[in-house]
Amino acid sequence: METGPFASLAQIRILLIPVGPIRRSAFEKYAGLVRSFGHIRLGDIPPDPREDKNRFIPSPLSSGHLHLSYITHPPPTWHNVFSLFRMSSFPLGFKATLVSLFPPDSPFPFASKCFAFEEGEGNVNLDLGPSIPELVYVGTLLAELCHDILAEFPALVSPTLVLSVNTDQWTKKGQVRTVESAEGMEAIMSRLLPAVSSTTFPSSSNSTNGLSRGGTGVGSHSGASTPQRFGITNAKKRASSVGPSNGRLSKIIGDLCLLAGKLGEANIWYTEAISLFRTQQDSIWNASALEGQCIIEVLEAWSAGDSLHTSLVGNALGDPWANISDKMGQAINLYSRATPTTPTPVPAADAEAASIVLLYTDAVLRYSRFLFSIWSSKGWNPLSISMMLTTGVPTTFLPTDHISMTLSQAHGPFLMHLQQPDQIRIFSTLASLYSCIGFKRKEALVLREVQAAIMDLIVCGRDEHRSNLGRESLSNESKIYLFDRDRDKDRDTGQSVSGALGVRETEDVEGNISIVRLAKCIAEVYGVDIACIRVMDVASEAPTTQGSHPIGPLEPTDMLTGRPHFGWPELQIGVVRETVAVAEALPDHASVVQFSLSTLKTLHKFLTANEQYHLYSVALRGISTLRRRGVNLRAEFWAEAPIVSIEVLPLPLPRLPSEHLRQHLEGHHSKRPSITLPGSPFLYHPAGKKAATSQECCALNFALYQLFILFCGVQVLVQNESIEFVVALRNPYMFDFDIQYLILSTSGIPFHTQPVSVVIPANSQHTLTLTGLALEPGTLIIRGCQLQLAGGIPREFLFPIVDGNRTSLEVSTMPKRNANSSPPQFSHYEVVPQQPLLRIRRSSLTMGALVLYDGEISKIHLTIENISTLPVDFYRLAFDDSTIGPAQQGLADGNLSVAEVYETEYDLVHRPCFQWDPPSQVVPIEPGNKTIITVSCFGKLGCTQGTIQLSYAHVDRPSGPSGIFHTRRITYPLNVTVYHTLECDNLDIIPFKTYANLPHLDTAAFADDRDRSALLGIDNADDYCLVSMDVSNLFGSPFQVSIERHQEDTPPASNTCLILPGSTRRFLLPIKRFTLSSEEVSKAIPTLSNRQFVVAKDRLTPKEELVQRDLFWYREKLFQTISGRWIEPETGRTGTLSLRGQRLSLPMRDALRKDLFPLDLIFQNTPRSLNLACSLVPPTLGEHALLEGSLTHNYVGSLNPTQSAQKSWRVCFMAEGVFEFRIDAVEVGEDGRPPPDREKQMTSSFVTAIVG
Amino acid sequence: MSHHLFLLSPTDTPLYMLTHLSTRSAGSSALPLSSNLPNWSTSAFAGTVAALSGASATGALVSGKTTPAVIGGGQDRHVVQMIANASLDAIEETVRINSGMYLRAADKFNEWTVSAFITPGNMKFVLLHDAKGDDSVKNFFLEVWELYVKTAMNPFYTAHTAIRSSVFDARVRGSAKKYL
Repeated sequence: METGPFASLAQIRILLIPVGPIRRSAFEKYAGLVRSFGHIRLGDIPPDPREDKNRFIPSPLSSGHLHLSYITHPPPTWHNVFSLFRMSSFPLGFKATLVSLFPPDSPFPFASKCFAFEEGEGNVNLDLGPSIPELVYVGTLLAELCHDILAEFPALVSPTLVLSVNTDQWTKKGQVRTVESAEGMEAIMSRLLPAVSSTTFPSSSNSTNGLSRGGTGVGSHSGASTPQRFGITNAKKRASSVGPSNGRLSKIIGDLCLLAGKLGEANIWYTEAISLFRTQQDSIWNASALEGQCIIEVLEAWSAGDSLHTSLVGNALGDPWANISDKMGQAINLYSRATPTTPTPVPAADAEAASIVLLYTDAVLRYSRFLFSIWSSKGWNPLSISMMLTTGVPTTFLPTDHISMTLSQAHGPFLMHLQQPDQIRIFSTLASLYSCIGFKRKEALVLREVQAAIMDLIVCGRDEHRSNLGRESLSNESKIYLFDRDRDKDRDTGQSVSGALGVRETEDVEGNISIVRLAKCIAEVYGVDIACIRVMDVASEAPTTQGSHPIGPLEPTDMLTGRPHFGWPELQIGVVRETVAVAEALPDHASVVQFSLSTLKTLHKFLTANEQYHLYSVALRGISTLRRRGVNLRAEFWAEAPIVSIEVLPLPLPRLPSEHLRQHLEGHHSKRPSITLPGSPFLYHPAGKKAATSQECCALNFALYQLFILFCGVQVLVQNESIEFVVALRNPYMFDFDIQYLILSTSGIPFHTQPVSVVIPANSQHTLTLTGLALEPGTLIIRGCQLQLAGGIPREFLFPIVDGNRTSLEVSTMPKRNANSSPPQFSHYEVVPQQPLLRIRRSSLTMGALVLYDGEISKIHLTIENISTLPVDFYRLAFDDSTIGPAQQGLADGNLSVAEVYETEYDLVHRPCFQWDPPSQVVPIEPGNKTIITVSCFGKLGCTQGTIQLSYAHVDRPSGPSGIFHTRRITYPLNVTVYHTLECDNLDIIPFKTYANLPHLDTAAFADDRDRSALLGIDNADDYCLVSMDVSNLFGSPFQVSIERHQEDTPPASNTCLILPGSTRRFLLPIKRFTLSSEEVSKAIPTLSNRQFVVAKDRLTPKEELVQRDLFWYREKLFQTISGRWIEPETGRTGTLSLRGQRLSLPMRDALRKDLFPLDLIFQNTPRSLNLACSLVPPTLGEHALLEGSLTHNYVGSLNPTQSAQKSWRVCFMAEGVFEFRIDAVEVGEDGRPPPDREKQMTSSFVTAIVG
Repeated sequence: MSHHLFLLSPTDTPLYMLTHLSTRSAGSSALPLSSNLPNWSTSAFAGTVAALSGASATGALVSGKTTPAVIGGGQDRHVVQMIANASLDAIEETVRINSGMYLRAADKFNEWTVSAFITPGNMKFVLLHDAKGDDSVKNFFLEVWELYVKTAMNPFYTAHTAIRSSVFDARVRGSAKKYL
């Protein structure tokens, strides 16, 4: 009993089955042709002259229609119980599309009235291809068929009709007669049934295609169903014992009239039946009669067509269908209250209950369908048209929840009474109606039942089939399919029972596919995208999937955003779990894989660890099963993007190449490395080193290097050297995640790397180091990673840079739009050509510690080995030590005076701690060779750390067109200890004359003044001055110190002395006085570095500045003249003694400077007069001398070069003693004042008089 | 006789669930046909059908292996949730016509009557009960609403946060005891 349209009760069913070998397409074509006749006008039915047959044949002029419906499967046998009750459910006609002599057969009671349609010419015509005339002809044939059917109706009714007349008052006999008449029918059947049995039929059913399978099934079941039918007839007999059965008879006649299109007559019979039932409490028959009345009403409305509104205008106040609703509601109510009449344990009662439930649900569905058709056509249509013509509001608004409420009546525990096929039919009808009114969630709920019911059948059928297998081997029965309507799912067990051989049938996967589709549909309603992971054939799809996910990591970020989850997680999980179970039971392994993996992807947040693991293992199992069966299906990458970051490990500093311009090569022979001061605008300067301790220096360098990478986004790598990548992986799942294959995905230059497989522990992050080799120089682009899971398709995950930042998962959520608009940017790495590699094989230092005395000069030898395959044809050294930093800092602060600045710079430039003289011809260090580099060191107080940097390169490449080359660097840190040994102090310069005129303490040794001068090699005392200084030994061992003089016109002289620990010695050395020209003296104090100019803080007056410069230049000249050296006699270590800590004062300068105009000052005894100005120094109290003449302002006049002048004073000594006179000659201007533009020149001369 | 209360967020996600077993007995309105159900099949899937059609509530059927150990409460709980979820269809349909917050018996399914209460923030309180909805259900809903509003005033609470407050739970249970 198909759930047909609302008016199915009024339709004559005609079963269309092919007979004989007919192609399916041909059958469907002609079946379609026949189906196009839904109605036949009563006028077209040929009249029948026979009296006993024409009771239901319409009169030729009657209006109205016969309604036909066509089915291709006979109804299930357990519906036979309705044969009397609901004739419309059974095919009353057979229509075969090929001429054949097949015995008119039917398993149904009324099938005896069936007409085996045989028409030779007509079918020949059909085979030739129908045209319009044939269409008409088919109509005629159908009409004849209908006529034949109708002609059989009286034969069915007449015994009962006669009976009804007779049994009005004699109920018991009537019953007997009814049974008798039923037995009469049985007799008719028994005449026909043998023809239908399975033994006669198989030849045609097996040869035809699947459409005829229903015939076999029915045939084989007919025997089994017979007792059932007897049971129900018995039940009916008992039910009818309550009252006379003429109500039922009226109803049957009404049914027949309805089928015959005699609506008026049917209505009369129904009304009569209802009035009889009212007293008899025969609820089911009553309800059925009510249903019949409703259908009559609808049919009348249908035939009235457009003129309907005129008939309904009268009751437009209420719903036009109120009458039908009332009756249907009544009918439903009656059905629902019906109870089985037999006690429950009897199996017949179950069948009866099933029948009642079937009728009940059918009525509910019929009513729902009625409401639904009103709703879906937006009201009672002709009426709404009439409403448009008149004023007023249409009253025909039908809310969908009304339909839903009605529908839900058909759903309940009572459904369990039904046979599964009926359940499925009702569930699917429910689902489709819910779906039509847009109640998706209800639809999903019902669909789950459909799915479960189907699966139940499959599983049970399979079990039964399996148990049958054993039985059949003995009994050789033909196999029985429990259900084989339009869903023959159990075929995919892949086994056949025909014979002892296991024959593998061609798998018909259509059923499986529809069940899987059902599952997907359900999951979709619950908001689970169960098919988001595609499972595909590798061979066909793999090449296309390579590039199909360009923005890999951006995709799963939806999961990370704060978007609320949609749906009911618990339900979703339940649905998914069921779906996976369904797919497993089918079994559809591909779907199992797809569903479980999709669930893991979308719902893993809500799954417990066990469920996650279960799904994962189910998927793995499915994949392995598929592979075992030779199906090469693979799942898409399903996990949430597991890669968190990809970072390149920066090269270690000794391997890091730095870029230089080739043109710098020309200047690299300069002796001294240039000093880079902190003011340098270049942040990263490979040649000049920052001042710091060597560790700090490395750390700082590294930090700078990272900064550099960050700013520029370009990292330098080297060809043919292993590059390390750190890949951070994340496993959000609660099981260990097995990545079978992980490889870096790069573009640009060829890159060689090995795939790895890794297992990420549950719910954790994992860091992985990958290595690779860049095979060519150029730009290496790291796009991301390719990952492959077990049984999956490899997928590339890209890591673009967003706004200059490296994309991590967190960052990439916001700029999704940007990423879509422009092609993604990836990390670029510059790979430079292969570089040589040197290492320090050994050095002359132990433990890298250098111990020096202050001022000591020593040498370090470094042995360098080339451990690469390229020669090193360029190298140079740069140095750093801990004194440079503070000095540069002091310079940068700018608080120093100009002279101090000079002193600091001199220290930096001329007295570096480390120094290397590059050889004039660099000999390339061939691969595997060694070379020795010698660095000279200078002990500088305060130096604690030093660094030697060796930069080297392979410059002379065959292919080097670009103007750049790369160097690498070895850094060799040194710990430096400098001991403070000698200290120089108390520099003084006095005129030699003073010294020469002193009285000799030992007159015996120095009889003559000349002797002392001669000893010192001084010819003219006026030309010399005497430099004296103290040198103290602060160290624990003796030092032999010598102070040396190097002057152009004098022989070298030195003063050497051994200074014992703790002692101080004074050194005296005569120096020939010299004069610097005024141009030399007035030069500005030079700066030695290319330091940025710093405005001096202290402003000097021009005069002060002149004095400063004068002192500066004389001091410089002095230090050029004398130098100090020392030697430690015990060890032979030598060094220099720095004098530069000494200051030069103005009197010292005067003593040093050669007189511009020498004064010759002598006393003459006769006459005792003195030349020039004379002052008594010091004028001591109590000692007096009389001086004749003016003491000051003795103007001599202008003197030309080589000219001399004389001036004399007279002195009279008034007391005894030693008198010392000093005469100052001062240069004056024209007006007797000193020249303003430069310092006045002054010469002093002393004379001592001893008055006895 | 049991009651099932669900507080559903606008995205259909349950924020709070309560199963309340009432001591009051209600007159069974079940159809006579619903008794003495036959057991056609013992397959796991038959259990699902039985459960979904409400048969397992009356007859003892094998619980399906398809839903092993549902979080917290067996197959019945899952079915009840499914019915509550499916009734949203009818509720949403009713809301379009009925502007009131309390929707009495908005849906019926199997033996359940579904009443709903829609807050202005589109939170849906769904109650599955077997008795006919009357004033007690309405009063219960009003009290739950008040409790919900108090919870929602918590600044750390959003419309999509599951309610885990024990105070809320205790009070809802209290009012369920009072009214249902």
